[in-house]
Amino acid sequence: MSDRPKPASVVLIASPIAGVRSQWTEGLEDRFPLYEVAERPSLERSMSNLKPAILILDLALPGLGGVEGTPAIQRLSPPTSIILMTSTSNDREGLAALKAGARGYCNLDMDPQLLKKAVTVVVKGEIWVARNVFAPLLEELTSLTERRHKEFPPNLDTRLDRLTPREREIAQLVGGGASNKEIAGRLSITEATVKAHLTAIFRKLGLSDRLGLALFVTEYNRVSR
Amino acid sequence: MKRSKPVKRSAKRKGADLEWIRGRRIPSVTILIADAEKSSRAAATRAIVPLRGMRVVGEAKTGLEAVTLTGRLKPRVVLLDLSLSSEFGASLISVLRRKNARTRVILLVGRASEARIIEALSHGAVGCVTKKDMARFLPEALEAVASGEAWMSRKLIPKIMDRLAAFTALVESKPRR
Repeated sequence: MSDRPKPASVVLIASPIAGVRSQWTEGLEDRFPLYEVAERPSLERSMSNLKPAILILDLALPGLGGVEGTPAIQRLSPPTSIILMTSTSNDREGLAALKAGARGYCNLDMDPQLLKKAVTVVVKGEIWVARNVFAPLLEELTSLTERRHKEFPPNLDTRLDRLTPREREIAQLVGGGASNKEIAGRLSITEATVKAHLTAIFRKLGLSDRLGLALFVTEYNRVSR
Repeated sequence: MKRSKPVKRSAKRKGADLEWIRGRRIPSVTILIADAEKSSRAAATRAIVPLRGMRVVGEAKTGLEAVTLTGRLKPRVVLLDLSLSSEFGASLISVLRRKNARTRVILLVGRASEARIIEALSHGAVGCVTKKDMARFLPEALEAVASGEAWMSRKLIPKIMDRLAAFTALVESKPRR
């Protein structure tokens, strides 16, 4: 967990605006050794030389290129945790920031005490973003999961593999809404045999009834289609 | 006036009818509680009863009941015990979501690994509250989720980012010929 560089947790502050830098300093100076830079060249030098634990970076820094520009800064000191600061906070950009490797995304004029808390949390290896970023983050997770399931269907739910081929056949027929009688007719077996198979299927899949099985099969087919 | 139907289950609770009358004019957030344990269902109800604009419309004891009741009652929020979702794998959550497009799922977590929580979140749950913290956090979580946001512990985010990165790498490296 805490394999990040601990000693003294140097914090580097980068913003072109002196007022912004001093506001950030206010919350942090009693807790962290601070360094300030106002432009990109000095930011690059400080990142390479200081290898700070934390970089608090104004997205409006000239020459940065916004969120897309942060990986280039990150490469100068891979262990540094970058907190991006924005004056135009929005959840999509917040998500993009996280995906670009930032460990934090905050409002530029955030309360100094809250900034201190954010930095402390990020030093511990956690991530700090506003709550409104949570929803798009989870949407992204869900849609990527669905996409992966579509593109990499097998070994999704291996429970169906526990069934014998005949049981699987019967499970699929139940999923299609067939009655025991219809299944017996289709497979040329007796209804009693169908019932025996179903009992085994319920037990193996941990299901309690036919509707559960139908839902299970429908879901399985949808996901592994 | 006449069309108001008191919620039988919670009406027994002291003060519940009063809350009901007070909250009646506000369109309430309807909640289905799905948990195998009676004590958890009761704890969730206790946390919800005092909330304005929130209303428990049903309780389910199994995953299947949750699916059936979600289809019938079309709740805005389902509070789903994470261990119930094992009945169909985490995909129970996808099934619930397809039963009613407006339904949002909040996980109630007893003792579960982070991996299982993230699995459930990746199937579309948008909230996660540990059972022992229900009294404290359930109101906040319901409020957030009912207004379209998500609610979970910050601590889950690094794990989620790891998973996103893994997916992205997987999808991008996929050989397509």
